[in-house]
Amino acid sequence: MILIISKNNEITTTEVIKWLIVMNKKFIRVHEDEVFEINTLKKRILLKSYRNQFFIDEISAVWYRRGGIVFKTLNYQNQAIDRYMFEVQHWLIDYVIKSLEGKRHINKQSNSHLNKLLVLEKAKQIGLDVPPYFLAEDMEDVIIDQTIVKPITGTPIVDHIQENQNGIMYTSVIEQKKESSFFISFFQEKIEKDFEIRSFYLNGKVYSTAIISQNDEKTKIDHRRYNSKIPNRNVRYKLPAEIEHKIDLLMQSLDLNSGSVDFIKSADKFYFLEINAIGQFLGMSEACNYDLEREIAAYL
Amino acid sequence: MERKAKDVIIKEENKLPLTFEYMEFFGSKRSDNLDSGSSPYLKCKKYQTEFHNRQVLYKAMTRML
Repeated sequence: MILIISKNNEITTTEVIKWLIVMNKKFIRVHEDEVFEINTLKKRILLKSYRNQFFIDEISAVWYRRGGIVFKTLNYQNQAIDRYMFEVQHWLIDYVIKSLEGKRHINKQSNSHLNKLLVLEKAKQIGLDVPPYFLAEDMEDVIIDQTIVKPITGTPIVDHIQENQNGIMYTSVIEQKKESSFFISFFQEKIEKDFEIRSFYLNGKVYSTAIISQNDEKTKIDHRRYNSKIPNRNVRYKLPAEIEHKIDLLMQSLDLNSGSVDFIKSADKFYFLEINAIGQFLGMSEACNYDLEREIAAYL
Repeated sequence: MERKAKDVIIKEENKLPLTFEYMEFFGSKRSDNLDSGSSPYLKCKKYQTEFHNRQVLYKAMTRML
């Protein structure tokens, strides 16, 4: 039985599930609103939520896609007992999560949310080219039209920032100096790109797509400012073996076996930007006929 | 800076990262109400989701070739 930790509204999960069904592989899909109780039955550990129940020993593989397995914890009136039972429950939950992560898996709940700053440092250590970057609370070191600002969070989206509105923070070029200071922000040298590359890494294999975004004013700086009327051309691309090897080293150093890795190609250099362990890959899979959904289903 | 971004920032006592000044806004007009006739989603037991896309997806040319 394959355990898929996902969200209810997650199309990528559904596309992989279609292949699991074709391959006759049984699965359980866990949604983000499920809260599990840990029980025992005939010496076996049983996890139970409002819509699922399974023994951890019947799980053969785990795919961490989104959300997370959440557990119910009990509180007690006596403070000393409450502190003691907090630890008891903590170790049980830790045991369950680590047991599941010890099985055949694609990514893990415990490490799929990456610190982008640490990843950049690791990428440099491994020998990937990284555009120079710095953190600052003012624009003293910013060079107009040559410096970009981008978020350090996993997602650039701020849900429900206003009624019926979400906010999104694309990578933006600084075109004007600002006198006042701000919360620590991430700045990076703007690289004149030939094109962008999104690579999907899965267990040592790298599937790359060149995103020809630089010819369109709308997508020039951030290809995610999609131009739905004239979409960017996405084509299959093969990174040099040396770069693929460094990607492999980087992912292994982060204990990840799956994720999207973003690059900018500029002349003969490939600049590493970031990794998204749980990012979207359906678009590139379809555009380039990579069948990544099938690859994932086959591995699980 | 988009005006909406300014409205959001002004209300905050503490400073925000510069990225907020470049924030763009978008909203969804689609209904997530699964009982609504206009919802693009269906409940699907087979795929264990309540958000199975109702629309029939076209096959990309590359998949047909």
